[in-house]
Amino acid sequence: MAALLLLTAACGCNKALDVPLPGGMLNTSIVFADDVSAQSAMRGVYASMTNFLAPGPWSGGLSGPLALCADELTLPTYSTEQQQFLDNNLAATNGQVASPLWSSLYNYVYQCNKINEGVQQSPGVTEAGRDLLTAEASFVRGLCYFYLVNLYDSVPLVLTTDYRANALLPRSGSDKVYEQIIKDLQFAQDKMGESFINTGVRFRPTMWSATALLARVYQFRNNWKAAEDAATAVIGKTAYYRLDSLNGVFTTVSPEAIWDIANAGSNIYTIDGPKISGNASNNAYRMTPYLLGLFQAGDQRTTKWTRVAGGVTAPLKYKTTSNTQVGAKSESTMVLRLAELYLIRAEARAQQNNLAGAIQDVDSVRIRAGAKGNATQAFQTVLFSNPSIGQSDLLNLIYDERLREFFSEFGLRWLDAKRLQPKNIALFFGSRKPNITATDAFFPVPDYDLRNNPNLTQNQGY
Amino acid sequence: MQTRAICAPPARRWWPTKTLRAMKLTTILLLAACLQLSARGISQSVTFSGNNVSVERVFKEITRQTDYHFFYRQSLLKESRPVSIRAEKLPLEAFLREMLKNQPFEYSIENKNIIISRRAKKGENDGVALPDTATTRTLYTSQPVNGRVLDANGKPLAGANVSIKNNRYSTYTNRDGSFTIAANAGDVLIFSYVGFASRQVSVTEKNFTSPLIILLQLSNSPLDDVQVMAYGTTSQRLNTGNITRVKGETLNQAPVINPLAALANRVPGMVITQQSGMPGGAFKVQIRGNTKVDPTNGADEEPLYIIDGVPMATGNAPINTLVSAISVPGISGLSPFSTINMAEIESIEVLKDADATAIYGSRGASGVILITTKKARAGVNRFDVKVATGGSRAPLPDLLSTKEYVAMRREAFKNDNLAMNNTNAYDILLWDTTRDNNFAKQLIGGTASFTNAEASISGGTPQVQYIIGGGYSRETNVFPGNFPNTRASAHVNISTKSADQKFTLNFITNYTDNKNQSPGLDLSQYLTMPPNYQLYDAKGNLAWNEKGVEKTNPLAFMLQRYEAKTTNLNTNLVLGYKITPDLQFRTSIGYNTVKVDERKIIPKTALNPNNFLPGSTAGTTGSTFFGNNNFKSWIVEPQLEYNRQLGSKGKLNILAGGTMQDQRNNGYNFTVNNYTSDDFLGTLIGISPSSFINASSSNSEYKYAAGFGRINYNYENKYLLNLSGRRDGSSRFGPNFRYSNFGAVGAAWLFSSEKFMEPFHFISFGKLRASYGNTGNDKIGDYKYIDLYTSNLYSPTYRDSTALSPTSLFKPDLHWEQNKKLEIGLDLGFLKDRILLAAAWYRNRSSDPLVAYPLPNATGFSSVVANLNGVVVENTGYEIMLNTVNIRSKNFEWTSSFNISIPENKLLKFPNLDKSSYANSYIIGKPLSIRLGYFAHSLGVNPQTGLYWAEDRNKNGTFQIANLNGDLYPALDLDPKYYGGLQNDWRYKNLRLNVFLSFNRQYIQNWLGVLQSAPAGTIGNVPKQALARWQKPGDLTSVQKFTTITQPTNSLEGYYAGFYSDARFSDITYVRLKTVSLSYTLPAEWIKRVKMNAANIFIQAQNLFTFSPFKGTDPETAFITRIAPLRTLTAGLQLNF
Repeated sequence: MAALLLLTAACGCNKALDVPLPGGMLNTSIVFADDVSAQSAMRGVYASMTNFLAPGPWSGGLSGPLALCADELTLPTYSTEQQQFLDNNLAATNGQVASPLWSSLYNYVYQCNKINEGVQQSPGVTEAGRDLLTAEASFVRGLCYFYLVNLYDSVPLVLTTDYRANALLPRSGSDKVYEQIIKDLQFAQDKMGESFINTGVRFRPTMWSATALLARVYQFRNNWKAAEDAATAVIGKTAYYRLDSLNGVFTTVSPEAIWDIANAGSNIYTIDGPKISGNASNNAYRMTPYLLGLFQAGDQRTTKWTRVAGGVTAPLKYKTTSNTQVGAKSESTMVLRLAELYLIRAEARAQQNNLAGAIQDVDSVRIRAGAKGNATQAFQTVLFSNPSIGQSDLLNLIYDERLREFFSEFGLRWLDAKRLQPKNIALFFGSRKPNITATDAFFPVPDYDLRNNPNLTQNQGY
Repeated sequence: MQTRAICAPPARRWWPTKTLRAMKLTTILLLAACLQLSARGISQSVTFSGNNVSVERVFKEITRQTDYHFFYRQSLLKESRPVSIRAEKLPLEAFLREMLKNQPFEYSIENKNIIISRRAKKGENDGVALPDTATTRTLYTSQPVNGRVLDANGKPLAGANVSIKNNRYSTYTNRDGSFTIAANAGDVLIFSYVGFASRQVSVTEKNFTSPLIILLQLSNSPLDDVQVMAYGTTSQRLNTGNITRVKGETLNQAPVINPLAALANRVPGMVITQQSGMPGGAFKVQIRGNTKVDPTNGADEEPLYIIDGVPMATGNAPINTLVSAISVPGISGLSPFSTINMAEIESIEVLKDADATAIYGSRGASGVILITTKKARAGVNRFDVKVATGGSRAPLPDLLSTKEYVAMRREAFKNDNLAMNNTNAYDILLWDTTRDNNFAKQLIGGTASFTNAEASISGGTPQVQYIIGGGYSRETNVFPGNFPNTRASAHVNISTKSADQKFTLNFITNYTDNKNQSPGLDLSQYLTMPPNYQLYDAKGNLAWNEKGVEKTNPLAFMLQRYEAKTTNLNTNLVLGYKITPDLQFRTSIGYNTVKVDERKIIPKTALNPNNFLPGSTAGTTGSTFFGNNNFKSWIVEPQLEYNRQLGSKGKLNILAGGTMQDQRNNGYNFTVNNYTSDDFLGTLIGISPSSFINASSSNSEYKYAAGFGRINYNYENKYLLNLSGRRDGSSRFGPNFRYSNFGAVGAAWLFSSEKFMEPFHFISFGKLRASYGNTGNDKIGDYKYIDLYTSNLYSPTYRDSTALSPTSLFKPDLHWEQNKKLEIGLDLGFLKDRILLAAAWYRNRSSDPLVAYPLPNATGFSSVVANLNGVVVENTGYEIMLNTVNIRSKNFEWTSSFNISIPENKLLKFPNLDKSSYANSYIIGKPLSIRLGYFAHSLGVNPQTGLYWAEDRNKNGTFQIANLNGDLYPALDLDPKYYGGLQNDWRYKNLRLNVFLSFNRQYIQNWLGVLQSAPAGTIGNVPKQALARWQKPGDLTSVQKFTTITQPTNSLEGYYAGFYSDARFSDITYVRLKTVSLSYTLPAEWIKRVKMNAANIFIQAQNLFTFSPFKGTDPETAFITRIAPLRTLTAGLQLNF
């Protein structure tokens, strides 16, 4: 019998059972065969970020829900999951915490880790190609961890693709996560270069994107000197980066863009835009009275970045919601833009008691929004209206300015609240968020991961 | 007429009557032959004239003229003399007498065979089985007896067993049926051959000189029915494994289109579940229990389906890609078996144990189903026609009338102390409460028509046989609208062999063309709408949004049109060549292709006008969904088969072969919307480029290669040993895990053939068999071990350049799921096999199950396909089949067939279960179905509050709907406790009645399951059972009060406490009168006049009654929101020319 089996088995060899991969499917080794092909894996990370069927952080996952958590936006219609954000009463089973945020971020991290490993192991990728791709991958990974650590506090730090090990990773401690973020971004800053800067669009990050993000990370770590230096480095690149008009900020050709994500397919509209602004007839969100009250008369951001429909004011930074819209301009998802660096530097300077420098930076942003250096309108430059402002008033003004400038943009307000009142976020919002408690600062770790990783623990309060 | 008694059993005392009977039989056979001859226009008289011609030439001439065949030893002709004869239309027998009168020969006629033998000396010509009296008995020492064993058509039977009664000696016939055995005069020779009735013949002196010709008649014991097995055939008598055969004839008693519907409950150990009564809907098949640890992503536990040697390219997975009334997403869809014409099925064999399935290796873990279509047989041309027509209806649930409904709603508000307003009570305040719809009747109460027609013609010569058949069926459905499903089919089988019989060819092909139509949705989902919902407006048009309340009108789904055009071509060619008489080479080449072309049209009129918001473009025009799905598979299986006698009593059969299989699936989908006109719907005309959306395509390939072998040893038809093995390779696994070995050993002991059983006359058959072996399962899907990169459907590029993203994790060590099967069986026959009992006990241990193992999303993916190493699922069970001939007389016959299966499923081993992601789903030692069986314990209805009341299991004061540390516990085992069927066949003269009952006992969701989202009392109709509700404090009832309030999820009382409790399930036994067939064969005299062979009229019914404690709901589908299996009644006519 055995002989018989051997005889018959002799006819079969592994080769005979090789099936070609289906059209459109590629093996990892082929993907990382050379520089050109490996680039498509990096583009895959960005493409994932704009997939409208699986919304991720930069396609609706961050901007709306985090604005609800904070004091930026409210809901025009009821939705159970959205309401939990608005009420700061999240459940661990809330799908909008799990899928567009946690899962998507970690999926991008996996893709970045895969690229790191893929190009390191590939004999066909050149050194230059390897530097560029690992730098880009590290940049995106740093960005993802920045949001992970800010949304969920201490998270598992996944740096390889081995799921057997990764599935059991415990929380790493937020300091360790920040350490890795800074390491990744410094590596990116070091190796990425400027190769994509002159292509007319900023759909690929450069060393300046890494520097800009580093500025934000230092700001969040209260490392004011480093934050100021990083911001200055980017602001100083005036050949590349300039503040654009309010209507131009979110367009594809905006000179303010430090890094923006291109849209899926041939779309000229972003996914984040319609997610925040709804469609032609329905608002997805509306602005809170508090936010509306922060604007002074003459601030053009209230007219150029919002719309009034049915008596309510809704955010409208991205204007294009369909390819066929009349007079639409091509827009792209603005992840990092110059205005943020002015306000980071303003805050860093104010913290270091360089109030004049801080005022100058705040005014750069305010002037673009229509602030006048005279008394013709209520919205004026700080230099004109309050040149002798004290440090803490100036800081508060900067925080408010950040809200006026970045409302409905990827939850920056919510992250500000958390870093400014790290012990008790409730103190930041006061009566504006009556239900909020200290433990609401961090989102619950999704139920699914808790069930499937015995070493993972839940955040307090859930 | 001179007839030798060789076709009559040699029971001496009854010699004369037996001879008479034999003569009678011969007469009948001759008569039949005459009829056949006349049908072909050949008379049985001979016209011949010739001088000094050879005997052989005359024989040939007779054969040519009469279709009679001659049997003789070639050596005999040496003694012949030339013949001179002249005859004009001389009757055959007279001619024979005349021509042989000067020859040393004599002849005998058996059926259509003329057997020529040396003329016996005087006094010895009284037949082979000479009366054995003391005077004739001689006590010589043994002498060789020569002879041949032939079947009724004169074909030699090679390998027939020849033994001497009460003696150890036995032998087998060689390839031309001849044998030699040493015997004494007076010994009784026993001739036996699989599928034929044994014969006993006494040896006489004469037999030592002239050869013995033994004709064996086909056995009428069901034990000898031919059973199809892997790469061959066997019988229940000699099989060492567990194979259950269901004849096509039995299946076709059921007026259904899908063969799986007719197969349900007929095979012990096999559960076939109908998911929906929609024509074309899918059936789930499970053999010997659940092994799927991962219910959604685990390896498919459907058996392997092989039609005429070709694995079905589709398996039993739904083949549609678009959603319609046929497809209950995730549960059901378009069944590939609806593309198979049941009338063309000769038999279905279900292979269950290791012995029967191990030769299928990695594909045999979940059992194998062999479908054999009708084969051509030699004979005169036959023409068969069968036509049936009838109708079907769906069982209708009994829901509240508007009057009762309105009263319920008012009572609910009163109970809740709530005021009605236009939001919470629009059905009462805004809608017309005098309107009384019976939605069950209006939406699913129609009568579906059913028509089925078959025709076939068959015939052939011993050299070439053919059958060509065609069929047409049409069934509509029970919705208000015409959505016919039609199927046309063709079946061709041709078999031929070369003149020297060395080369054989068998070609078989089946083709069906189906068009399945259905509305966009199963309207059952809308039965629970308030009965006063407005379907039509005053003008008789579809009503929308009465009084501004935005609601879907279910009849709008009738305007959606779904159609699936499916073609299925299955073809197989088997070429055989006898290299030596013992060694045969054959190769089977098969091809199967299934093409599905789907279209779903949603016209503008089917959309709620409220969708047409000013400025919005969504939904303003109609749209069409297109789907295309193709399956293709080819298989080549060369085989060598060697037959040899080992010693005088052993028979050896060795089979070795190889398999190469390739299976492909490809398809595409896209949607077109914004048609400029509804006239263009369903086409690609009149659309703008941007209207072409959601395009996707898929393709996959599976390759399989294997070498296999089987050694079968049969010692004296008493001891049987069967070894089979296979080395398998599958492209679904990584290079180091592609190949694996599978094998089984089976043995049987026919103890009834032992001497010690002789006193137990009433036991006519006894067999003890056992088998053990392992099989595998690779049905996990293709490419699962590779970490693939692909371009995302919705973001294929990033800024015009290709963007690739990984689709899954790398899993190089993916390997087979193993199933080790052990079985012990006992087969008993009583009273000459009138009672046959087959009992089996099995134990299948499935290990290393393939699962989509849930991973924390922090790994980048939510799951990975993996083997759960060390996990073992055990299925054990008892299966009993009992076949009895209760009454058998000339005019009245009653036979019964009963089967029952008592399965048990349990999770045997799961290392570190508590740390795995299944910790809250499974329990070691409990069945896998426990995953679905977690419920709170219901305390009934609280007599004080009138609300459902659940036990606070964790004693924390609140209701926690959680398995772990919550209030849910593994309360119910949802697997069937037992199931089976009972078939009774009665015949009185020409009238036949066949009744098949199926039965099943298990926990089944009762009417409370209808209340999926809200308690009785909220907007939405409920079954009449709800009227038994609690009304005032102190009422003791099992139905909670009418209320619109669900109570919080953590409340121990109220809706959630009821819905998440065991009150929703009942442990019931239901019996279905599944199939009834009444047929009448028209008397032979009548039909002869119209030159027909046979004519039948029949009435058939399916699902006639269901005896179940449930009223209004069908226990099988258990949801009133799905069409239950239909009740069908047809009448028809079957003619045979």
